[in-house]
Amino acid sequence: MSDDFNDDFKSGLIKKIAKNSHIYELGNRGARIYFRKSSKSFKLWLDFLFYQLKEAGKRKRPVVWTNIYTPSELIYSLDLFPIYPELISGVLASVGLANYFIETAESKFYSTDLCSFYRVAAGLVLKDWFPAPDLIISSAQLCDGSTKFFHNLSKYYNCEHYLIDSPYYDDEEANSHRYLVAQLKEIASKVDKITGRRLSQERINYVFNLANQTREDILKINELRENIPSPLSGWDAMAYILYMFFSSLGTKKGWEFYQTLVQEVKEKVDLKRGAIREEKHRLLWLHQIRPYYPNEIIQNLQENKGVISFEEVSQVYWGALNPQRPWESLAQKMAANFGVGPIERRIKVIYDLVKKYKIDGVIHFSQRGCRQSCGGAYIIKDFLQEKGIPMLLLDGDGADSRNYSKGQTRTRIEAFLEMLS
Amino acid sequence: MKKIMKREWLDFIKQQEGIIALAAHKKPKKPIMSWVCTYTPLEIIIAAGFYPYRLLPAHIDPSLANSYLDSNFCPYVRSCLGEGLTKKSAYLDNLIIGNSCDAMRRLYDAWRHYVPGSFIYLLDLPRNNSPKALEYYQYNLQRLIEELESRFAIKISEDLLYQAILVSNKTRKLLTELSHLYAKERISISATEFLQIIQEGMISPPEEYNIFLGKFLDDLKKEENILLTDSQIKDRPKVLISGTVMDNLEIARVIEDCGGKVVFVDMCTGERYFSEPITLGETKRSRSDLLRLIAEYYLNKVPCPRMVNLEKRWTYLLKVIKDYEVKGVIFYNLKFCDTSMFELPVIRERLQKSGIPTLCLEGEFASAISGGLKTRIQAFMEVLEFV
Ligand code: SF4
Ligand code: SF4
Repeated sequence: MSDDFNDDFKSGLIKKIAKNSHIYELGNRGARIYFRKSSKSFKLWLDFLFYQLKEAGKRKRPVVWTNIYTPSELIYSLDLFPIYPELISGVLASVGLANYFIETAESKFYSTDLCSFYRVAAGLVLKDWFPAPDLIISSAQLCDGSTKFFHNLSKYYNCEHYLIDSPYYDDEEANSHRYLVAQLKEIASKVDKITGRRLSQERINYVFNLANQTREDILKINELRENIPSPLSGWDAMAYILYMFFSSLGTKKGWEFYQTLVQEVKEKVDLKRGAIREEKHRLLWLHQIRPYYPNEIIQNLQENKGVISFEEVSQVYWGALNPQRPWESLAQKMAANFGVGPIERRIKVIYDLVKKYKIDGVIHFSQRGCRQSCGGAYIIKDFLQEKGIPMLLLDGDGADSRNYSKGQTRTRIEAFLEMLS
Repeated sequence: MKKIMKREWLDFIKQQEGIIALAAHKKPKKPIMSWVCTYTPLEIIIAAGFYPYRLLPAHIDPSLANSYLDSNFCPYVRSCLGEGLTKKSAYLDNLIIGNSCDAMRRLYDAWRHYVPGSFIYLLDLPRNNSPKALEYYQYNLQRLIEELESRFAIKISEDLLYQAILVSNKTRKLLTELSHLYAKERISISATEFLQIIQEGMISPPEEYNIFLGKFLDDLKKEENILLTDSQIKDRPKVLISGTVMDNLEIARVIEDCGGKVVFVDMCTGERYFSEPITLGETKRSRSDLLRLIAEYYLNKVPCPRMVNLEKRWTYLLKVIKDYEVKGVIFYNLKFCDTSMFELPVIRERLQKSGIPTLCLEGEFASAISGGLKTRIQAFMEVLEFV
């Protein structure tokens, strides 16, 4: 780990505290009191977050650092304990800690042109705050940054990195699914060797069934969200709910969370209570993320009666998993990701969402440093324009608040929503 | 004699550029298939009866592509698209894009939407060289062949493939020889000229290029007087340039003007274009055997930062540094290239620990080298004087 860090007594202390599993117990209690007025689902998320960090700290099971498009069902089937640095970066940004880590990363040659989520995560690693991984599993599906970041991690922590090298084309007949299946199987057999336990069919059944039930609940929520007014704001969906979307599938806590959320959303629908008081413009948000540091975007939208009715990241793009054919169905899940492959795949999903959620306008959040999403934005915009759906390219940054310009963002949002009227 | 040889060579370069650039007006002997990434199997392009031609649009302003690709994208990719948009030349009709990085796959999308009427193919590339990846890549090569065969109504026989490998191998051998002579300073060509000769290989008809380059090297070796003697070699700090695409060869000249000697260029417009030849062996082989060899060659060659194998790159860089007695490393990456930006922190820290000074520069496909860049290079060279 970095040298100056070792000299730094204060960081050393924080590090000790951060790695102590009891601290998360305390943290959870504190948070519960602080957030006592929040929704039940939010509290369940807090529970889950603190539980994960606490368990990882105990190291009873191998700790794996992983990324969002590695199916969590794989991780839990293998009985590993996951840490999601990308998601944690978002959490750190929301509590105002991101820039501290970003500066650390930048002092160690991480360029400001890189995606800020990975700069936060790199800083986190360089400061050595979290339980170190026993191994790293990442999927290449999200972006180059993700792949290379996790590879670097394996150098810092001197552990193995299993990359799930995902194919571009999704054709079942052809070799691409086979390539995925072969890799997933290899990971499983390697993990077996590390843990000394054999992967059991029983465990797969348990995890896959939970994941399938959870998937059903997410589908229910997505259906309920078709209602007008929008019962759930995309702003929330892209925060703690997103965390669960990627990290909790295949766990009991995850299922409980989504069951609770279904109830909460349903109640809102029954009461015809919308996410904002007066809903005029129904918006679709593109990109996996939104800004997490304190910002005024949601106020800007609300003041102009705009609500994020849906966000592409919440789309359930995969089918139910089959525990009898675990590798094939995990490969299918991965291959079904519409962010991979030619842009037409993503456009199709977006257009379906526009129709399904009666969208008036689309916002593409152009995260600075994100190549994979921004690269397609103009084509999507041109396509939607032809269909008469306006789209705003909203430049910004999800984790690095230094790139947020309050005034400019407000002006652009106001102008866009005005145009929609 | 020395001077004449050089002029002839440079004339050849000019003439070649003429042939390609005028392709729109003057019909080339064979159709042209453009490519963008060194993980594209040129052997297949040659076997299919095309001239492979690398898009290297150094003279195209990347901002031409601004309403089609985000401006926070690699300028190489934006320049390529810019060139496609102008659509002046025949070599833009056919293009194979490798799925090398996020920028490339988005180029593929943008090209299909905004540059109409071309043959465009995306070749999927694995990110490592595991046995499974090899198998997958070989399969993709097979698919590319089938696509070319059906699209252009041709047949790519094993014989054609075999011949094509011989042609590419010849280029590789010649360039490797040139590189050795150049690095050992046995011939008096500048770094810029060296790079120009390599890049010429990427845009010239391969057989003709081989003939010229072969003759050039033969003459060099015959004429004792054009080999520099030890006493003629100046003692200059040796520099390794490592990076992606060199957008402006003048960079190499600036380094030399500041007193450095560029001994090795680890770039995909430099030495990564022509590592070791493909081992063919004597016995006749089937098409799939040959594809296997091609697949192995590309996945096992000196890795670009896009590959996920940092140790392999590190070992290779260390070997170059040792073999060529490198004093300092200049990283020259294109702005917004994630794969190389992510490699820098780890590699730089290791070099620092080994006491090797580094300088990081970024290319933006600008038309001229800025004063700021020159000053930084100069300062770096001064540091190297004392190492
Ligand atoms: S914002 Fe873009 S670059 Fe950053 S992690 Fe997400 S997909 Fe990758
Ligand atoms: S320079 Fe980097 S970003 Fe640009 S094409 Fe090459 S690998 Fe991709």
